[in-house]
Amino acid sequence: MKKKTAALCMAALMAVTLTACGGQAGQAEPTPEVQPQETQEEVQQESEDTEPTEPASEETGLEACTLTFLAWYPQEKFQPILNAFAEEYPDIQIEFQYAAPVADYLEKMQVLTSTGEIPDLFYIAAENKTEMIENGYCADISSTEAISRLVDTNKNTYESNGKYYGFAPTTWVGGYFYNKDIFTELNIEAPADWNEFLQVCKTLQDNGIRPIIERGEWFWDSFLGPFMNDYLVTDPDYHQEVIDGTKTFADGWGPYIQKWYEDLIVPGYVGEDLVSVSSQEFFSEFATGNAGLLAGHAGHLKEVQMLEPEFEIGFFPMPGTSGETKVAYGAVDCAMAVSSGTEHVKEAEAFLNFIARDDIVQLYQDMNGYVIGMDGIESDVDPVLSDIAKQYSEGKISVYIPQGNWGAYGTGLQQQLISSSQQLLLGDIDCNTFMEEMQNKLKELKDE
Amino acid sequence: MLNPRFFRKFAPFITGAFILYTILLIIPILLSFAYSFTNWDGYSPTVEMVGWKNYIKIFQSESMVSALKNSFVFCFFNAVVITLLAIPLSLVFNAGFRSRNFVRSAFFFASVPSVLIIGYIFQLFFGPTENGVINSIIGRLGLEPVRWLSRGVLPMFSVIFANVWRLTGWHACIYLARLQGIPEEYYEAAKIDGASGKNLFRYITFPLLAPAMTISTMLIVIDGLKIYALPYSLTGGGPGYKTTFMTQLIIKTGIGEKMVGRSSAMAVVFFAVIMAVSLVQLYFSRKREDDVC
Repeated sequence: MKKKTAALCMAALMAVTLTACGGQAGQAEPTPEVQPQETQEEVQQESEDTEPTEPASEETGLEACTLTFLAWYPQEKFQPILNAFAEEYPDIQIEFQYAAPVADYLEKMQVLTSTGEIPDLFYIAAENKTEMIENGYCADISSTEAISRLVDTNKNTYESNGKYYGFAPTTWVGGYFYNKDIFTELNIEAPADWNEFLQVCKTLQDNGIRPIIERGEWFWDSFLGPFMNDYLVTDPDYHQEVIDGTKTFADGWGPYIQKWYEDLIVPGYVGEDLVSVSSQEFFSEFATGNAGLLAGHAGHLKEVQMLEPEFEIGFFPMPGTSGETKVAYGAVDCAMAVSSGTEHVKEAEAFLNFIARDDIVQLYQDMNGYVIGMDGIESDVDPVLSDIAKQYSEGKISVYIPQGNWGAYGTGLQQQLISSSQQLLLGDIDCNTFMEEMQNKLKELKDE
Repeated sequence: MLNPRFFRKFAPFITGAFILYTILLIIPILLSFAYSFTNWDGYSPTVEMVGWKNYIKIFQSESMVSALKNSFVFCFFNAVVITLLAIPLSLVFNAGFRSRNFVRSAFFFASVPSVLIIGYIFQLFFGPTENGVINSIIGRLGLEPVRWLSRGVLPMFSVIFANVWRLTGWHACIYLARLQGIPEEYYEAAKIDGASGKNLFRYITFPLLAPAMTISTMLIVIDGLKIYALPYSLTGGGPGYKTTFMTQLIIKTGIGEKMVGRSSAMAVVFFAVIMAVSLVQLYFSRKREDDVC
């Protein structure tokens, strides 16, 4: 009997571990809540050194308070902004919390919403914006100075029914980084269209160099070039049509997945082993000169540069068949939102308006290296990315990433995309089954 | 029948444990069971009852069948391989050589670091490129790299290998504790009767390890069924669904796909499966203990 009871207890313990505390195992521990004490000390030190001034909060009518902030970026990266804010608003404390994106952040946010403990300020992203906005967790911040400064793309990404709920000051724009030394040695140039791109891949492969390096969960992005620039430009509402049921994945994606399979997978430019490439190998394989092209964005460029590669890095956007880049691989970054239940609306909005300031948004841009999506502010991006950043800032190109267009079904469809693309690469399924699996997953998520 | 005097004496201690047990175990289990009949997405402040729909859907789901199969395959090979390695290893631990404490510590150490970290370390070992440790060595020997984390059954093999490496030393210590409790007189009497070393193991050591084996295999099975962090960090559940286990599927469905109701139904079914497996295993283990003692 005792043993039966023990077995029941053990089974119960397991079930609870799986359900109530589902994400504990294997998840990175969130950074404990910390007050920016260092900031306060620095501010006090500075105020002793300089002539005393009235706190900004008194001038603006803001109340002394503590704002809780669940951030998408770690504190060490955000600290310069927190320091500047503490200097300007000494009476408003920021209680900074961090959860690693994406899965851990979503999980933490989901737990906080279900327990009613939503922080005053938090991030929303493509993966959860629909639920957060539709369920009324985000305050309408349409009238803030911060929102008024955003360019339309950044503003509209977090819009619903004519109201704006998220402040996303930056956009990541990506494509292929290439090893300029190898290109020079092999006498090849950055490709302008798909055929030239295939020729570059062939030349690299013929010379014993891996053409493309990508991570096991992202290598499917190499099909995006022709899809974005040939199809999506003619039908920008394609994904909404798929969700509405007037079109299918096979209608838009089908020919381009087939093209990707025939042009890149069959010749081995996208190799089978990419299925299990980790982030670390992704960076080191390129930085050590084993791969000619790395698909990524500014954040990845920083990681590669930290490995001190002994060659010059170039960049070109993912090409379509026509040669003219109209849509680049990228997305408006996650956005800061104000809780609809906060007691400190003005103070929270003041934080957003503060980040929207010319000098502070530059600090924000330094933090992630992305392109600033605000009127009249030039992005201080890495020189490798300056051309594409300029094109985006001038509105000459738009950005695209599939999961950003799938609304509430984004994460589920993304998981299916990863799984199906891995099976396709390993030859376990064909392109038609790939499309069927995507369509079936959408049907399942829509609960049809 | 509960003794009232006993109850009064220990009531404060029992009450505290009971409250904690209820809050941390009973309530979440009941909530999961309740959520399994709803369409809750984890965000919405309101929920709708959907009856048995979630249960019908999960039994129609190929990913659920695949994840259950993977969990049992992983669990079975873990139990067999770890037990086969841990028993001989415990005999080595029990032998009288000078550095045995160091050897015990070295093998036990593998179970100390976070499982997540072990997963990432093995990812470096099994990496498919020339920067992967094993493939780098293989490459220097002039051989073709092996796709440890993508080809055929190798991804499952890699996850099992990493878990066996992690837990063998720990389970050997369970057997060691039992070995040290076997009276020396049994061996002396058997030796006087002319028993060989092989027979000493077969007729004394192995049967008397039965209680340790019950504990060890039960822990391996439970650990195997609830494994999450290792495949999460080593393979991410892929390629495809090749190393997606039930725990991952439950979390992916609840958090990623925002179908908390359906993931709760999966958790309830999995709970029932685990309970059944545990009871069957206990029955046979106890029967074996009764047979040998």
